[in-house]
Amino acid sequence: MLEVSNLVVKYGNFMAVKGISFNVLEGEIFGLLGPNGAGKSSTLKSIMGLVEFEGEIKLLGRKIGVEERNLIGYVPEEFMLIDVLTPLEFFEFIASLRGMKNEERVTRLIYAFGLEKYANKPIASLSMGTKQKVAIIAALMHEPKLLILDEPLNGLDAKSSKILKELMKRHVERGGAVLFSTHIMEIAEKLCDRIAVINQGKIIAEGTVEELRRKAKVEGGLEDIFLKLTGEDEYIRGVINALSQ
Amino acid sequence: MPSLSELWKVSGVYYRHLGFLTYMESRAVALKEKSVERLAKSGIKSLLYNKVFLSLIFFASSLYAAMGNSVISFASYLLLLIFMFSFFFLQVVTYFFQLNFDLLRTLPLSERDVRKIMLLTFVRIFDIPLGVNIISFPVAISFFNGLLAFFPAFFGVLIAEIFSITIVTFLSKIFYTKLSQPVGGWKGVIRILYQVIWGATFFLFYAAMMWMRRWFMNLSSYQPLMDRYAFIFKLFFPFNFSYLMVAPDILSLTTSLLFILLGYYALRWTLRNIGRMSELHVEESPVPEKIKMKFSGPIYGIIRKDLKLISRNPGLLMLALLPAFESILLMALGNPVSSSIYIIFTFVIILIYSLFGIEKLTILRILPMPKGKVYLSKNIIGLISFLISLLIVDSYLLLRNAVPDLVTQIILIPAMFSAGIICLYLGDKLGVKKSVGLSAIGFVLIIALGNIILLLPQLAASLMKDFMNPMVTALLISLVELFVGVEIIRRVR
Repeated sequence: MLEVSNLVVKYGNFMAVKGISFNVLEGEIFGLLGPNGAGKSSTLKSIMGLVEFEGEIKLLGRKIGVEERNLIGYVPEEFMLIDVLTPLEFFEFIASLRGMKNEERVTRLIYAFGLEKYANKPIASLSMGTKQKVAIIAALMHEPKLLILDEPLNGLDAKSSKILKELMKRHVERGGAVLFSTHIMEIAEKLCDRIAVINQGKIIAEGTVEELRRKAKVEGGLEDIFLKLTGEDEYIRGVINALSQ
Repeated sequence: MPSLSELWKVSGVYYRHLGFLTYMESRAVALKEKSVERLAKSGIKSLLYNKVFLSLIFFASSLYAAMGNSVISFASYLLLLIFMFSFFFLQVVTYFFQLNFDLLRTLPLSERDVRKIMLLTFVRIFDIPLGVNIISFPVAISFFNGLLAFFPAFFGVLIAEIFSITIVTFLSKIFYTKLSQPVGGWKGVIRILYQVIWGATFFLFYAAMMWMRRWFMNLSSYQPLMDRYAFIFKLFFPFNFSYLMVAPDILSLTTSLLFILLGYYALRWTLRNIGRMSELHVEESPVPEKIKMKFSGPIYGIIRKDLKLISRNPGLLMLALLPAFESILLMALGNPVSSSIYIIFTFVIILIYSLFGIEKLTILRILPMPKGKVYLSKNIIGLISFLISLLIVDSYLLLRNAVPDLVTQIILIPAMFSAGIICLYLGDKLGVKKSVGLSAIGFVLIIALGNIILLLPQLAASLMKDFMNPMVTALLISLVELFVGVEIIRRVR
């Protein structure tokens, strides 16, 4: 569904993404895993056209233009909300721009995430978690083919996390695709069909958890695999030793 | 326990934040990092300049009033002080109520210290003009009218300052709670009304300055009135203090003492309210029983969202009203009526640039909306503002028994539409309006080009008047320009 080839993202002289390539297939959850500053958000932003990039990004074989944006639901790492509006007004705005006619799905999502209590409060006054719910509903409301979620579980309570994870699973069961970035290894391990480990702007490993385990030659969980692949296991051991003394 | 100078230093940090809030809100609702940094610096400078400007006015007025040596001149000065203070600081004090001092409560500071910092931050808003008044007027009075007048002058100024600070605190509290409600219906209308009054304080201040100048020039004509009703005037502030400075008697002394007592209670009320500012809550919105939404087309969706933004952001609301206010103000100052359309247009461009600048930083960038349609929706709002401004200006002209040139205005509407679209397109292409950037030469050039587009129909009409009816020529050119605007909307993705 999504093809990313030789993607390069630069901020001035700093190269955040150094020519990475990957595909996200229909019916799969693809995880982008990496430490802070690895280039995950820059990759996702470039797919959405929010940063300038070199390389090629195609959705269903087409370059992502204005119309293709309606096939994507995006939850950014930093909120892209309009603070002075209420969640209801914000959803009305987004739905109008997406050309939606039926409000039923939005209403169902509002109740599913327990947002009805906050529906008429200004977004500026909401907590981080509630703002995240607003961003998630805005991304899901038009039933997009591809969901791009940048750290979507940040600030969410247990109930909403569970609902979102279930929605992601059902989304791919119905032939959609999910590309999401996270720091939380357990979630990536449970949810993702395939994972790309990104470090310092490069993909250093890609595949299922089992494939990554074989590559890293590690027996443990994804956290151990990840630390081994990014070379941070040695560093962590050193830090822990230093702190113990 | 921290010393007063240390607390004063800490209050400076909050005061800088206040300057930033005030300055930023009046400029844009979304800014790029660099602009934010610049605005943070400009904010504090702007507050300082305002205080110095007001202090200079007070200083000159105090000298002028002292030289007048009459009850009416002293009373006028004190009235001016109350009025100017109350309106000039209304916006800043409203933002003061938005400050959150809770961080201080997590630090090893007593509640008393926190309240002192809150108070000192509040005092910083007025410090220079407060000081200038309390020194300049009593000193000038004792210089021109003898040493004995010093004390009533001092207490007169002190009470006037306390009253004005009480008034501005009272009004700001109301404005803060009213402006923060995101409600619709009648309450929403009332909120917008509050915003208009709140935002129009600058114009009220300006109008008051002009009125006061006239009043001061004719002071002597009011003196007989003061003499005839002296008994009644002596009962009220600030006349009682003025009588005390010129011709003291028991009645003016007694009522002055009563007003000092009233001033004491007013000060206590103000201090109590500043101390309790963290307890100030805006009205809660009700939980909806059933969720109802109205989806519309994309262009109407953006317009509806922008109108909500304008109605909830005093800075944007002022930008929307500025075209009409400014052109009336300039007309009142003797500017030709014909130029009002260009003044209105210039301010409309600033408004649509600000609205477009916001979109560059928000979710619209990831939604399926071609840029041409975004230009169109912004320009429709600009057109609405343009038409409302023309309506206000025309009403003003009719009130002054002048006939507005409606035909020219109607002919120029397509040209205005096109000029708005072309300005937005060029601004977007050249990246002039990434944030506020109003000082950029590019922006000035684009506005100049917009004005030329607007001027072109009339220019062509006057050049072609020997060959063609000027109205027809102007209309044709205006329609050709409209065609260009529509093409841009159609083609830009």
